[in-house]
Amino acid sequence: MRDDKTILEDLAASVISMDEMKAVAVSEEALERGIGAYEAITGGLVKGMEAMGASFEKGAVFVPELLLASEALYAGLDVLRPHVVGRAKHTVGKAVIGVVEGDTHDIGKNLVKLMLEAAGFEIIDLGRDVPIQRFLEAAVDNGADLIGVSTLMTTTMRGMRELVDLLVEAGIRDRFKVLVGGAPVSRSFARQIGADGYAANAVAAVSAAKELVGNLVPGQ
Amino acid sequence: MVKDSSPEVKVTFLPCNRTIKARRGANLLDLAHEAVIDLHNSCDGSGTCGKCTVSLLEGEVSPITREELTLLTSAEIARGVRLACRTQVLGDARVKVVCEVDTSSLRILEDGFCPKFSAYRPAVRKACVQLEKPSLTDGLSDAERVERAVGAGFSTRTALVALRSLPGALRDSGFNVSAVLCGDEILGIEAGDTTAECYGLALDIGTTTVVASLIDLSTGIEAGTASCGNPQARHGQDVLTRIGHTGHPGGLEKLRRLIIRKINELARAVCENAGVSPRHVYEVVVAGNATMVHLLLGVPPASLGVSPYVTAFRRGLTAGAAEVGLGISEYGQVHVLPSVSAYVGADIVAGIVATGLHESRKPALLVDVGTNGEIAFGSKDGMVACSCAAGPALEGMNISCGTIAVEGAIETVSMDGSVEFETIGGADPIGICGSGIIDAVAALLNNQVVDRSGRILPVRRFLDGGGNPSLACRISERGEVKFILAKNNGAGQGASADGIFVSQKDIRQVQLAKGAISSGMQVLLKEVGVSPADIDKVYVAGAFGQHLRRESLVRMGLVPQELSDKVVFVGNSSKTGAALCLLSLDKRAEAEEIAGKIRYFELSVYPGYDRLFVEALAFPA
Repeated sequence: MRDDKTILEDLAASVISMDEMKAVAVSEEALERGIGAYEAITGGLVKGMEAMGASFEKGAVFVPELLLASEALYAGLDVLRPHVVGRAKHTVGKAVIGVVEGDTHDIGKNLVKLMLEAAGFEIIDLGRDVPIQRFLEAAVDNGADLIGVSTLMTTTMRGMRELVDLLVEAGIRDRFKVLVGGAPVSRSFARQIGADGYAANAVAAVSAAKELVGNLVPGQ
Repeated sequence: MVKDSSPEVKVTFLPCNRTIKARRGANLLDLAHEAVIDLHNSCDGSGTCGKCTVSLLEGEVSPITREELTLLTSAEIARGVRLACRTQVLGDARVKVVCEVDTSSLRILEDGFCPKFSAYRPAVRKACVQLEKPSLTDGLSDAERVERAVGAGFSTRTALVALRSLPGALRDSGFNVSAVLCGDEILGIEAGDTTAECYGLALDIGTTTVVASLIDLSTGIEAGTASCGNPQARHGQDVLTRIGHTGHPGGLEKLRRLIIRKINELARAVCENAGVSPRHVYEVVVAGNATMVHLLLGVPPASLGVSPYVTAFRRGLTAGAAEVGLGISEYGQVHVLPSVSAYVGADIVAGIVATGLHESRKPALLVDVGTNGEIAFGSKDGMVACSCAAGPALEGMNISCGTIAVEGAIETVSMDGSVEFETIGGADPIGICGSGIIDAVAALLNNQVVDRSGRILPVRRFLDGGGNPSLACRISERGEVKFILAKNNGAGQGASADGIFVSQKDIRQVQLAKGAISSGMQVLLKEVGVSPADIDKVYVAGAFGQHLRRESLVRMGLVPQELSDKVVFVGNSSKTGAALCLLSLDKRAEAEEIAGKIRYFELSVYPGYDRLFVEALAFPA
């Protein structure tokens, strides 16, 4: 019988090696061993995803590998999630995300959604060409912690500025963290428009989102 | 001692040694533009591209900004390098331009693929007539006399201009005049027999380069060609950035004037070289992408930059040259070819006319390997098109040591044991351009330095797998992983402690571009229901058409392996198509029909495109 630590490491390894079948098998093993499902997810699968993320940022792996790794992760999640109990059920945070008004390119945003969900965020995906007002409404209606906005085109970046201004006007700027990203977006642009954060890619979006959301008190 | 606090300062730019007076606090990039110095400015001064580098030799400027600290290397900062867009002059200053784009040596594709052409019927022609002098009995006006003799009526567009010079032309020449005709209309009347002087201009307005071809309309022979960089690049490298610039007050007019002035300069140059007067050029036929065409005519292009990406107009359009601002004959006209959509423009339609894709019996592909990666596919039975958000990697931009095709740019690379490369003009390497990066990636794949997933192998693993040691020593793992092509020789843009290299990030950029184009191709083939094996021709157009090697395109996966021998490089097919339309009203009508018939697919909303794109990122085995 393998010890807990080895099983958790193997869960991480299954994600890193993008092996769906292995992820399923080791997840089942973890349950049989009596390892808490939540621990198996965060201490095993998600750790593997974080390692993939680090490899991605270094350039050693690319988008296809990230997606295959996430498929392995979700295969494991399918096995483990039904067994998560109690306070551990609560998410890291809730985010509303979408592609800014006027832009229809959503591959990047879809990758961010995948990575954030893998990291434990609850995502409300507004899709593409999302009217600015809609971001605000969805954030309020869903009690979100974070609003994520992406764009591929320089011509639509101004929508991000408009969103921040709209939040200020509505007197609810402090209720949400605004995270922006996309090829033409930069940290200095994010600063200029008063956004809370910027992420250069889907992996960086996870650490940025976690940092912005801080530690949520379980039970909320 | 009185402190000099005058509001005016003097700024000298080197190496061209141009001094201009400026207001204290003026922005250095604006000043460079005023001094007519072309700095690299991809992002239109928004502080994100890091390309507008200058070296402060002397003088006081504003403190360094956060953007500069991020975008410049510490070595550059130590040397006094600043970004012009982020710097204000606070006193007299001497500034050395580090990144000037020497567009005089720009390698521009002037030649196009020239198919056999028989349906020769230009829009503009001349006819000489001897009129009867007026008499008390006939009571005809000058205009009526001319119209009756020629058998055509004055065009309403040029009537006023024509009438103003009509009386003088008739009487100076003893009523022996030449009529300038377009279709069944008279554009103008010239004194004497000027039928031998009848020229037209075929113009290709690219985002990066502009090419003009002077053509003798009476013989169909090209009298000369000239080209230059597109001066709008000063306000952004890509169409979206320029569209954004039109959102600033006066932005559209500024961009319009820039291109008009440059076209007039080009026209004068090409005419002078051919011994032709611009007054004898009567028509300009224009091909270009939709944004270029909108900017040329001063039509606001904002709607092209946001979904649903519609143009203000897309059908072919004819306007008076004087009204447009072009310095050709005062009776002259400009005909802009039709576009299909915001992202498949008149340049692609012209390319289809030039390659005859619309008349082919078997399916053919036309691919423009550039930033907008336009693809047209089909045959006489129907055509489809799309535009791939490829990004500028395949044109040498967004690449660490990337540059446009100027002298010194590495344009071919081979790695048979050792690394060999050729630069444009044989000059010392200053960077790597589009064809160079494609060759480099293909060579790296062939030598297993880069694996299918696009990863530069760690040195140890490369050697363990039997990799060539002389290549292994070029893999640098200090910091960012990169493959060194040329060691540092201290010169130019892109050189650094590591010289000229291809980094891991660069390979990823190339993958994104290749993935975009490859998946776009797959969508079109799927829509027409054709498999690669059935394709008869793959026409490759682009800013470097003839310098691309088909083996590299295939190795990278831009062209499927089975189509390798179907590749035809068509160079500047946009210009060729424009010339054909200049010489033939039938071709012009075909262009209109093509534009109307093509089905355009917006890839960003195509079902399942996400998956196709991601799957296309890997290189072929």
